[in-house]
Amino acid sequence: MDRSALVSVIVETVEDYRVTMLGGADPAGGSSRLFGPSGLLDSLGLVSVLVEIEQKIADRHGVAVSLMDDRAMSESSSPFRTIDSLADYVMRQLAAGPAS
Amino acid sequence: MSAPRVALVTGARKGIGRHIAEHLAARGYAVVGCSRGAADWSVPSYEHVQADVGDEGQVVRLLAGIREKHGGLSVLINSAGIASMNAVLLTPGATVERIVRTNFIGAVFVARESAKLMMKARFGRIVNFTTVAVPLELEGEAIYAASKSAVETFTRVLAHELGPAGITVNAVGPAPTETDLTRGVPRAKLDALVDRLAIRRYGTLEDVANLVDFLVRPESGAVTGQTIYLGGP
Repeated sequence: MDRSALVSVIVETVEDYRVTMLGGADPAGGSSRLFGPSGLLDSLGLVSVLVEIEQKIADRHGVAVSLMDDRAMSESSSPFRTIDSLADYVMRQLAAGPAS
Repeated sequence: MSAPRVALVTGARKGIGRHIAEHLAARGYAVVGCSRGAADWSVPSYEHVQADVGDEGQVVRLLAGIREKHGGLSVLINSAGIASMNAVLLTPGATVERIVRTNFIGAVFVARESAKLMMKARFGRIVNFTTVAVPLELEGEAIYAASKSAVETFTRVLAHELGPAGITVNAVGPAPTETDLTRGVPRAKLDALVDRLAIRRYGTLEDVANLVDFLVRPESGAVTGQTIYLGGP
């Protein structure tokens, strides 16, 4: 799975959540903050989107990736703070091998 | 998106878990049960999977299998549990770790992976299991009761985290019920325990099923974060 395909999956998932749950979606880009004061998602949204991305990667690419991290909710060091940082994190997870 | 009528019951090989699994299957759920060992029973709409709830990888694979086969999950009965009656000063460390691993850590792993399947449908019912040994502070049950205290706190906090996703989380504390779990406890101790309850009789599997029915029904969407003891400790 290449990085640009992964970013597309993330953007699509974030926008789907915002349309369904928040009633609208501004276009999300790589540097968009996913959560926090100016983030695209509320806390439920972040969890929902990460779970959805795990499942889409498993369904479309047959790869198990685990998006669980002790820094998940940290506004300064979370690997999930922006779309780019999430994409980098997933690429590292994929390179490290299957989650289970 | 409507939730599929699919239930997962842990510790389904025997005791309360088996009874609830049979009960939900009879009520039209597709039921997946799990335990470390193979089950020696079966009913229509029931499938048994061998999995240790204390093993994170096995739990992830168990729920991935449910997602693949059923497309989702609406009910989790988190009933796998082990006990060991002993004085704290005589309890080996390995026993402490084994009890906490199955009763608490296992419950966390299964609830976490199950909730992931429930989130998409914005509906889910998680029923954890505790014990009247928590409020009764029974001597000889310190480690078992402490592991279940952790389950109760976990239940309350998880209810807050999952409430916005339409998932309720509650805990059931059965009165002493004659299962393998209580078989190692001297009869006199159990009788004394029953005498401390408001309803002075042994619990039955039907008592537990009745409460589970209430907690999993769609109309119970506002009942969450509760620990309900049977028998009135």
